[in-house]
Order: sequence, then C-alpha cells, then structure tokens
Amino acid sequence: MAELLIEMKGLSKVFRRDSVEIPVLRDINLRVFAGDFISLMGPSGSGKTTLLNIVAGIDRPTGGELRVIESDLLSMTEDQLATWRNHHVGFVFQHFNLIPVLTAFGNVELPLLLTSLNRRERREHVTTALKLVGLTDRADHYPRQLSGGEEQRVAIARAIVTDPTFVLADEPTGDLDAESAVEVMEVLAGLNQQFNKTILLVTHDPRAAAYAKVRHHLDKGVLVEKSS
Amino acid sequence: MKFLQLLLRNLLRNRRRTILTLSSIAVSLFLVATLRTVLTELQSSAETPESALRLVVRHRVSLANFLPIAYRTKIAQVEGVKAVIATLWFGGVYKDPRNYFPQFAVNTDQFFVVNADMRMPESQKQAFLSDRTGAIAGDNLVQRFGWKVGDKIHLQGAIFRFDPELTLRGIYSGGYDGASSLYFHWEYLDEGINNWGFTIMYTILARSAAEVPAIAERVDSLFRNSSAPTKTETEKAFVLSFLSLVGNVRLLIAMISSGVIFMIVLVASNTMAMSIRERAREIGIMKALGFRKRHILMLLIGESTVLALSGALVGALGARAIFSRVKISSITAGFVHSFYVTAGTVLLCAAIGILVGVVSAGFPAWRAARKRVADALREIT
Repeated sequence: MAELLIEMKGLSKVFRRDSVEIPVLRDINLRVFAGDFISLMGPSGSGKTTLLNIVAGIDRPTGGELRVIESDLLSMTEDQLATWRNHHVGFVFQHFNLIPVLTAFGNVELPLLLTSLNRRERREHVTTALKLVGLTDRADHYPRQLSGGEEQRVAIARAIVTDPTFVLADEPTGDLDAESAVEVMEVLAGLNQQFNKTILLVTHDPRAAAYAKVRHHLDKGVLVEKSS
Repeated sequence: MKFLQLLLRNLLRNRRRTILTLSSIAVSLFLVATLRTVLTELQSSAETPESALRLVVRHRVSLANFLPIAYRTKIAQVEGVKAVIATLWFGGVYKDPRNYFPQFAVNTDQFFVVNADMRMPESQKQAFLSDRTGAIAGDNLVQRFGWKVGDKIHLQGAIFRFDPELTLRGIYSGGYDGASSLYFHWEYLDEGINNWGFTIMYTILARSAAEVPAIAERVDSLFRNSSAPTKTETEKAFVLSFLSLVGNVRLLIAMISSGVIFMIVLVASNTMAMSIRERAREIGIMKALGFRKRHILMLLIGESTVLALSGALVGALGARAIFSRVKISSITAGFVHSFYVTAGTVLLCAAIGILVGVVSAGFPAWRAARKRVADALREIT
C-alpha cells in the first residue's frame, strides 16, 4: 500500500479584497499517495494555483483539514514552512522563475545552499539533476542563453535536486511551444515512472494533463470529476 | 560563504547602478577621510622629543599684544630654563601678497639650542649666525620658490615699516614647523624699526620635561603684576590654541561629515529599495524554495553592506594614496605640515561604510523578508 502523502478534507479558501469575499476553493477532498501523478485541470480562475500553493505551504486554507506528509502545515510558522518546503517540495512554476544572474548550475544548486551538503556534494547532486533533464552541457549557461524548454527543464532540475517528497508543477508548459511542452512533460513523466516521484500537476492544457495517471477537474473552486 | 556568489552576482546585476552608487559613496567617504585628517593634523604638532621640552610665552591678553625684549634676561634666570629666545612674527610680503609663508625675527645666539630638532650643516649654521642680514629657510619653502644658498630675499614689511634685504645662508629640515618658515636676526629687524624693543613671544627650552609645568607657572608669576602679563604654555598647547581662532572646528567638521553620511545613506537606500523592489518575485521564489526570513535579510543587507564598504574603502584608501603623493606643505604655505590619512581613519571610514550598508537596506530588506510568499509570487516584474 502506497504511503498517503497529502490528504485534504473539506478544504476551502476565501480571498478577501476590501469588504468583498471571493471563494476560490470549496469543500475540496483529495488524497495523494506516493508515486501518484495527478493533474488538476480547470479554466483560469478555477483555483488550481491556489490549491497548489496551499499544498506547498505557501498559502493557508480558510477552512477544512490538510495533512501533508503527516505534518500539520497550519500550525507551522513561515520559517518552519520554508524549511519544510526545502526538504519536501519541488516547485515548478509556469514562468520558469530562474534567477537571471545565476547559471543553470547556480540555479539548480540554489535549494542545496540551505542544506548541510558541502561544495563537492552539492556539485554531485546538481550534476545528477541536470543529467536527468538532459542539460549537463548547458550547466554554465545563463537563463538568457537557454530556450524556453531548456529553462523549464532547468527549473525541473532545481525542483528535484533536493530529492523532495513530491513535485508541484504549476502550468509548467504554459509559456512553451508545443515541442518544448512535450520535452518538459516527458521529463516529468520520466521522473514519475522511473523514480516513482509523486507529481501534482496543474494545467489547463489537456495534452499536458494526459501524461498524468489521474486527472481531476476543478471548476469554480470545486473538484467536479476525476478520470484516469 | 556559500551565499557569497549569489550576493556578488546580485550586486553586479545592474552594473551601472552599482558603479554609480559605489562612486558616490567613495567620493563622500573621501571627503570624510579628508575632513578627519584635517582635524587630526591641525590638532597635532610635529611631536619630537625636543618639542616636548619647549614652551611659548606670549602676552596674557592676546598674541597681538607685544612683550618687552627686556623680559628675555629675566626669563633666562627662571629655575629650569635652559635657553630662551625672542620670536617676532614679521609677516612681510615676498614679491606678491599671495606668496604667503611664516617669517620670524629671532634671537640667533640660542636659536639652535632651543630648536635642536632643526637639521642643517654646521657651516651653514655658522654662516647664518655671523651674518646679521642672513636668513635660514626650511627645505619645503626653498623648494617652493626654487631658492639656493646665497640668494637675496627681499621682503616688504606689511606690519612693520621696514623692508629687510636678506641673504639665504642656510637650509634646514625637521623642526616643529614642517620646514616651511624663514628666520632672520631679531637685532636686524629691531634696528630697522628704530630699536622698538619688543617681541611677540618667547620660546623657552626647559632642562627637562618634568620641569615644564613648573617653568610655566614661574614665568607667569614673574610678570603677573606687570603692564605686560604673560601666558606660558607648552608649544603643543600654543599651536592648538590657533585652532580656536577659527571657531569650533571640530563641531564644524562633525556637522559636515554627518551631512555627508546622511546623504550617502539616502543614495544607498534608494539604490537598495529599487533593487529589492525589482526582485520582489525572485525573493518570493527563493522563499518558495525554502529560504527563510533570515536568509533573505542576510543576502539583501549583505549585498548593501558589501557595496557600501567597497565604496568606503575606495574613498578612504584613495584619499590615503593621493595625499601621500601631494606636498601639502607647499599647497598650504606651511600651515599644514603633513597630511597623512591614518589607518585609524581608514578603519573609521570602513565602519561608516558598514553602517551605511546596514541602515540603507534594513527597512526594505525587512519588508521583503516579511512579505508573504503567495503575494511575492504575484508580483509582476
């Protein structure tokens, strides 16, 4: 039996803008097990990114229960959540979000600076991560010298370099052309199939969602259907 | 150390802005180092072992009041006095009023006893002593005007109605005045002004440093109830008293320095605020990756501190290098003998740089570190 990593019960999130309340997530019930590759599809504004942020500890729900790897995220401070994320979460953003003044190597190494690994060990981890995404020969290149697909693959390498418990990918193909999008999804699928990496993918692209084993649909903050 | 590369790379993110900020800090700390050195040099006289044995006697009321030449004999008899000479400020013009330099008429018989720290060939000393119209000049002064031994030096009296025609008999180095003065015979001047019989001050050489305070008291007691009461003090105290003539120089310099430092805090704060604002989303990413508030604070304040410290060191060390090559005595006509930016001043400027770095980045860094990750990720850059 695979380990239960994420459990949401009746999760809800309401944003408040001045006196207006905007419900973004309503009564979300979701379970994610180790090794799962789950996609969350939905139109813009459906709450996909918000849900991902809550799982990552970047945002907090307004109501409901949330347990992630047996941790009660709601009781953690911001600093505790930051440390927790460094150990357990690999985040892939839509806009790559690489640090422009660092090379591909430097960007992938960034999360490792927070660990106790020495320089040699960090180098080994980074090299391994870049090899997994097929960019060993681009290690010394800056983001501006990489294509969109390559940048996103560097971002994936950065997300997995600490060997996190799960990877959260928020619209990873949103800024990419079709060919690059396939490259990126192949990498994510490969991580799940070969290394049993748990992946939670948020996308509005059905072709990207097709790589997932289980597909959920989010509409106006509600999980409406599931398919696999 | 492992964050150093990230810190330095961020510093060079916008090179033009970094260079401009660093330059403004460098120029400002150059000014601060210069001002502090001005204060230090004005407050210090060339302390030689001989200068510690010298006292200056002047009129108690002011330096503009004269003392009778007859006082010399009485002072010479005071317990502890080894030698005493009259020193009279001539204040004449050499060719052009802009060619200012100190000129003194002195008793020459004991001049070299009192001023044992002046170095000069014995032959030149004797030539000066034996020529009533002879003069000696410091090597800095000689260099300034290109004089050589044997040259005629004509001075026009500005205070006294007498234009001495002097012959340069010797060139000295060392001494308390930075080798920037000219000395000639007091008797020659006194005859030229119809045996006026007064002087502006006396310079005493004590037998020992221990006797200096007692000598001062004895000399002043001797003339306390006379028509020309005296004030006797060490040579250093006498030099320092000139500073008070221009007001509270220390306060003035402190105010200017504070203004300069405040200005560079504003400049550095603006730079850091802009830089941090531009990187709001990046900071959010880093926090999403696991960077804690203290990491963010350390990186941002560290960046600002490295920038400000670098600028401060460029400014202070630049001042040290430049002024070590400048003949300040020539530029200031001997008023300032040396102008050396000390290691202490460089360290002070470095400390100011660190303070500027911390203060200027403190608030924007704190705000950035506290920003919620979700809000930072929504920033559009």
